[in-house]
Amino acid sequence: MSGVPTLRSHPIGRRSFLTGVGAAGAGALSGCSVFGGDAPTVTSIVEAPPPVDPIETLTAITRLHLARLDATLAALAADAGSVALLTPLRADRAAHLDALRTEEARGTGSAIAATADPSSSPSTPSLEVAADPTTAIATIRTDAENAQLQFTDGVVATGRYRAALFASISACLATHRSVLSA
Amino acid sequence: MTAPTTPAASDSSAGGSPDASVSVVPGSGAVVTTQVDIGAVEGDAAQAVQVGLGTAHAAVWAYGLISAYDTEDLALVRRCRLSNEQIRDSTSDLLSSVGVDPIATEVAYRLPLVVTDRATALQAAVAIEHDATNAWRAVVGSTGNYQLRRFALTALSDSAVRLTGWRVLAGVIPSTVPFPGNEPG
Repeated sequence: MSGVPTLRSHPIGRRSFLTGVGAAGAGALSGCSVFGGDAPTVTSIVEAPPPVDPIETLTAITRLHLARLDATLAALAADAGSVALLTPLRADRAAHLDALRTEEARGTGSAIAATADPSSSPSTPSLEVAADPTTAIATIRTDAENAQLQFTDGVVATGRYRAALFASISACLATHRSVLSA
Repeated sequence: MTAPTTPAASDSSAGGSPDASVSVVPGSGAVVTTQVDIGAVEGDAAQAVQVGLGTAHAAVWAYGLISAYDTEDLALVRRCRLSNEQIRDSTSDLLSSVGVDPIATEVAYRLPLVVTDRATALQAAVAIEHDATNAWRAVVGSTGNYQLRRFALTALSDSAVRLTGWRVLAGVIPSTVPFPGNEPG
C-alpha cells in the first residue's frame, strides 16, 4: 500500500490549481469573442403559429350544451314547468349551432352536411342529468354562463361579421342566464 | 309573472376598476365604463356609436313616458332608465375621447305606437330596447377595435336582458330571441 501514490502524497498547490482553471477558462471564452469566431452569424426567423379560429371551439361548446339541454328535457319531461322554461332556450341554442355551422362552412368554402337535427351528431356524448330539477337547471345556467364568456372572448378575436354573430349569441346567453335566474 | 332580474356577475371583478374599459361579463348588469384612451375608431364605427347613443337618449326619454302609464312596474322602469342613462353618459365619454362630438338629446322622440295604457307602455319598452340591441350589434360589426367591440357587446347584452324582461311582462312568447340585435322588429 505504501507504494501507491495518493493525492495526499503529491498535493496540487493552490496557486497551480487556480492557474490551470484560469487557463482553461480563457481558452473556452476565446470562442465566445465577437472577434474570435469565423462562422457567420445566421439569423433564423420562425413565424408564430397562426391564431386559432375560435369558431371551432365555440361550435363544439354549443353542440355539447345543446345535447345537455336535450338530455335535461328528456329527464324532466314530467315537469311541465321545466319543459316550458327550457324548450325556448333549446330552440335558441339549436339556432346558434345552425348559424355557427353555416358560418364555419362559409369560411372554409365547404358545404354543410344536411342533418335533421344538428345536435344528433355521432360525436355527441351521452350525458347524465340530475333528477332534481333545481340541480339540473342550475347546470344549464352554468353552461350558459360559461358559453357567454367563451363567446365574449371570441368577439375580440375574429373578423367583423363573425364578431357580430358571436356578440348576438353572447347577448342571447346573457338573457338565458336572466331567465334561468328568475 | 315577474320579469327576470339581471343575474349577478360570478366574477368579483365584474364591477370594474376605475380604468377598466368594460365590465368583465356583459349582461351582468355592471356599469359600462370607458377608458380614456380606447385607441383609433373608424369613421363608420363612430357613426354607428352615434346611433347607439341616439337609442340611449330615446330610451331615457321614453321611460319617462312609460312610467306615467305603467305604474305597476315603476321599480323596473327606474332601473332601465338608470341603465340607459349610464350607457348614454359612457358612450358620450367614449366619443369625446376619440375626438367626435356626441349627439345631443332631442326634445321628444316618436315611438312606433301611441302609449295610452300599461299594455302599450310595455310594447313601447320592448320597442326601445329592441332598437338598442340593433344599434349595438351594428357597432360590433362595424369596427376592428376590440375595446370598442367589448364596449358595444356590454351595451348589447344589457339591453338584450332588459328586452327579455319587458317581453316577459308583455306576454311575448318566447321571451328570448336567439340573435339579439339581428331580429325583425
